[in-house]
Amino acid sequence: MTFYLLLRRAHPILALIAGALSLALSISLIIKHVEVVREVKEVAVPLVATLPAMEKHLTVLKEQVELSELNRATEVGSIGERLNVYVLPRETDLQRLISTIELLELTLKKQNQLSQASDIVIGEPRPYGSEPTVSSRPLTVSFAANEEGMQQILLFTQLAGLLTVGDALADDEIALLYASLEEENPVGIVSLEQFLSLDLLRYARDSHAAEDQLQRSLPSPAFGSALKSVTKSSLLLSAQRVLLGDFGRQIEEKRLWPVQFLLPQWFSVEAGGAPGWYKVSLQLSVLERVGE
Amino acid sequence: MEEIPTPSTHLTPWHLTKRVALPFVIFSGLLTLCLVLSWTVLLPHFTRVEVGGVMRDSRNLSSYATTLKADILVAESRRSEIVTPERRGLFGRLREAKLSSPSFLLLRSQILAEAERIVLQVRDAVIVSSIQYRPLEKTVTVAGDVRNVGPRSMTVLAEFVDAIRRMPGVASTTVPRFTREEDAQKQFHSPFMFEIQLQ
Repeated sequence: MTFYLLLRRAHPILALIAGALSLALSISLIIKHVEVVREVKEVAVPLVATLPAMEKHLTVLKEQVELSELNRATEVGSIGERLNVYVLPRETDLQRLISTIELLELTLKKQNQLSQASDIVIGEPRPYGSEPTVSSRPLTVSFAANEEGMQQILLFTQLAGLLTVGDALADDEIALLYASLEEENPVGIVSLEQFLSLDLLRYARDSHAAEDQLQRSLPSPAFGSALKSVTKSSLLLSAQRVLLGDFGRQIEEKRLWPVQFLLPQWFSVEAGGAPGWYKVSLQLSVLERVGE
Repeated sequence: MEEIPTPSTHLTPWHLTKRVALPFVIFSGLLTLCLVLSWTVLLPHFTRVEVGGVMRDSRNLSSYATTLKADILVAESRRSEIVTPERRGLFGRLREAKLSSPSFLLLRSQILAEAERIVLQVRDAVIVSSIQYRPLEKTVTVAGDVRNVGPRSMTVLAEFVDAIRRMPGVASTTVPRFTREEDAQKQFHSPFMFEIQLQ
């Protein structure tokens, strides 16, 4: 009542100004209301639908990281040691390298897939590209081989330097396995980790055993089909092709695995002397570590 | 007592102001009060949602989603670091350099398939005699001969080059020298050599 009387007594101009200010404040509040409602419609509603899945994904990832850390703590860094000793050594073990190429040549000759090989020419080490801690030696060799022999030689150069199953998989192939794992059985990360760190030669020599062991830990059909699609479309298939037979058996027996890192510089395939035979020439960079 | 103008009295702006001022201030005051109440009580009540055990408005939700995404990326990266540690560092970079180039066998099979496809009715119309591949430079040099197609050998060669240019992953090709020669059996043929630049 007092407020009403005060208003009535107030000067009309002052009342108009107060009313106008109040109306301006109301308009700004109405605009803010509209903004909030629009924000809720455009931002919050879609986010609310995706946030639980993201939270679940993060929880699963954290759980997997913990499990993997525990598993890793029980393993000694054997992969790193083998990389440093055999794959990227300080100095090329020439005997080991030549034995490996010679073994490939003899195996393919025995299988009538290769008729002759040239001299193997290895140059002096020189700096490699943008890696200051790496040097490379050019290695040049050529073979007379048929289609299968040529493919075996070229696949071998692709595999030389890879050590584990994980090395032979592309990022998107590993991502497919992770995604399938997260959906089916997040704690299976340890089994997947063991599969990915499995020696590539061991896998290629008995891929069924390695895949079966993984599938026993992760028996869902969805993971099974993801694993099948990855193993049948990746370098793992090439590894089986090259290492499953005599060459793989002998490289294992003669302890020539893992092979030093070979980076192809150029390949050349020319028609050979007989139909279906080719002259396959290669120049590879044999990589070594320097310094450290 | 204030004088209230009758309809016969002349209505000045001052009178109008005096009559409108009070209802106007009351209306706008009440409107503001309602909106303030809505802003502070109603709107938060209806627009906040509980996520992760915390009530959040839409702005908080956006920043929470951004934080979650960042945390997921960190956790994924940490997982990769633990599960496949050798993919990082020097070996990882060299492995990437090696495997990022297209496979020579795949390129060769694509080139040979195009060579076979050009003249379906004539076997060995386009003979690829040599393929050289430099993976780091992403170049492929193809040499060969077009034969058994009579005087059309240069046209068939042009078709072959166009087909190679349209292959997936091919950025460009050089144009070969178009020549038609006659061999010992008086057959026309077109030897060729050109370079493919991959993407």
